[in-house]
Amino acid sequence: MLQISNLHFSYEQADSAQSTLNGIDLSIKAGESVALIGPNGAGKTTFARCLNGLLLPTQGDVHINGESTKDRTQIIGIRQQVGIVFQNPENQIVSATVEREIAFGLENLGIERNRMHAIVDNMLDKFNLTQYRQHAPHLLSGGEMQRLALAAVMAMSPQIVVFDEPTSLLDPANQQLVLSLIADLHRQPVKDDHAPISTILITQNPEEALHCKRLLVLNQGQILFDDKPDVVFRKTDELKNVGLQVPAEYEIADYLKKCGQEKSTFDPTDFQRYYAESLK
Amino acid sequence: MEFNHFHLPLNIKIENLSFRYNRHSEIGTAVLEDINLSVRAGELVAIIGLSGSGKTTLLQHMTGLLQPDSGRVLVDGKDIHSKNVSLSQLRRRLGLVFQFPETQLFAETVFDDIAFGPQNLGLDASQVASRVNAALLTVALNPPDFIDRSPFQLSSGEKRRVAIAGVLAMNPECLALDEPTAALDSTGILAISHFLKAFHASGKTVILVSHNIDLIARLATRVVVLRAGQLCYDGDVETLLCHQDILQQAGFALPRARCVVNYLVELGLANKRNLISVEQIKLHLTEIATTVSKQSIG
Ligand SMILES: Nc1ncnc2c1ncn2[C@@H]1O[C@H](COP(=O)(O)OP(=O)(O)OP(=O)(O)O)[C@@H](O)[C@H]1O
Ligand SMILES: [Mg+2]
Repeated sequence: MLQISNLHFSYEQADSAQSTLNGIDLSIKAGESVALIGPNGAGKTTFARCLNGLLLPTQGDVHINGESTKDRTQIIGIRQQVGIVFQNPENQIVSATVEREIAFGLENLGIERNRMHAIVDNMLDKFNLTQYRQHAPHLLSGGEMQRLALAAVMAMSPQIVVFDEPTSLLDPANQQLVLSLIADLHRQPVKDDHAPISTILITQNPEEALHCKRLLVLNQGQILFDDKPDVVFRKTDELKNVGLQVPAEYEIADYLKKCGQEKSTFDPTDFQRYYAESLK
Repeated sequence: MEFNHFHLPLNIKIENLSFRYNRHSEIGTAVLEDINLSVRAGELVAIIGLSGSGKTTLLQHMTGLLQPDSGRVLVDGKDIHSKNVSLSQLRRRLGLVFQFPETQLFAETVFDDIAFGPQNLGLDASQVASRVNAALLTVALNPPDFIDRSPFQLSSGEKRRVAIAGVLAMNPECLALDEPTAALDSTGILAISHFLKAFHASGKTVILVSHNIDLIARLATRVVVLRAGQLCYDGDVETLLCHQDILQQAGFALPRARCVVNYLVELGLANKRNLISVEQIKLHLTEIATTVSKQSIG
């Protein structure tokens, strides 16, 4: 559903030596849950902006369900299919009330009034915002605002939702809430002709990446690794070389191995089971 | 010289402070209720709590940005809102890193942004340049790559680093930081944490608001937990980690490294639980390995 080939992007004019995105080839299927990590300035946000046509490739292509983001006649459809939730929701909220914020994108799509109201009510209910429907968005707490941003994106019934560091400004309780909202998107029953939703979670927290099925590591505009999180995090040294930390259990497993304890009974996946148990 | 009474480290004392935002009808705004807190010179105090619990509001009182409805804020024994205390002098000594770095950036280039403070201190051009350079290096940004760029066209982590550099370039005597590591990558977090360690080791006071429990565990000499505008814990990190209930009230889970320790102990690979960082665990594992090999030799 998402097909990226030889994607280059440069903020400067084409003559600059190094571009921000340097040849990304990648495809993401319906229903995938993907995490994207990488150092500051690696190009993660730039990549996200390329997915829904906010930025256009300077070379290569991004196709959403076969349509290129470069085809400006398709841009409304592409914006509807690829939703982005940004780190700081304050910057993306445009309306005076919570319900108008959710209706905003639907109005732009020219959705008929009754259907629009039904969708708005449904989203308010689903994201637990009904009590705030008449409130001004900027008076919501950080966690509530992030819920609103997601509700506004979900109202458009997107196929792909990109989360650009949605938790970095939240307290740990709200971080958990946002992660569970993302997990819920994958548990939704799939409607008639709709494909299951795909999510891309951009994060600086390697532990959050463990919640996803697939992990991409971006460094200097190139994909360094693309595999299951458990496989990627075992490459402790290679990640360290580009300044990335692995979850504590991988670092300890790696250390034990380096100390010659190859047959140690300590294994990261066993620990994760133990950890999940301890949270219950 | 006015500077004379400013070379001593800072003590901050908050007495019976209450505050409420008077913009009525606001929801979720922090209210502080009868807070008593004394930060002694040279301490590194972490303030934690759920969002809306009043952390930022408290920090803004300590730096004189807000005035309490009742109660007092004393810096080195003087009420900062009394007539004979200059708030601008205070802010010069006490650097504040804001929660949202965008609110701190304003100039056309990264250089001008960071240079603004030192220039206002009356330093000459070469001193200013060296301050800018040093501050960028402290936040792990390579100066030549950044000084000519617009601070508004940076990635989110780069913006935060530049905002922090702008405060460090003032060479403050005390630092108050609101979520300094949010959006930073591991290199950035490590750089900030090294800096704060050294800053604190030189006897200076640090107040750190953060959701990053690993950072707090590694740095703080003392932790204060705010809950709905009131202090509900004030003590050391280790004791806090042993009080799961308070930790949970503050919205925190145990640091992951601590959970790894507990698991290692269960496997019989470690025999100490009070470790809080990956580095400490490694050290402990090495100790065990050496004892074992000594025993097998002996
Ligand atoms: N509007 C812009 N104009 C010019 N350069 C930009 C702009 N936005 C970002 N850049 C640069 O492009 C590079 C990639 O930035 P991007 O925001 O995509 O990084 P990121 O991986 O999201 O980083 P972070 O972890 O800090 O959010 C960085 O070097 C950044 O300075
Ligand atoms: Mg980014």
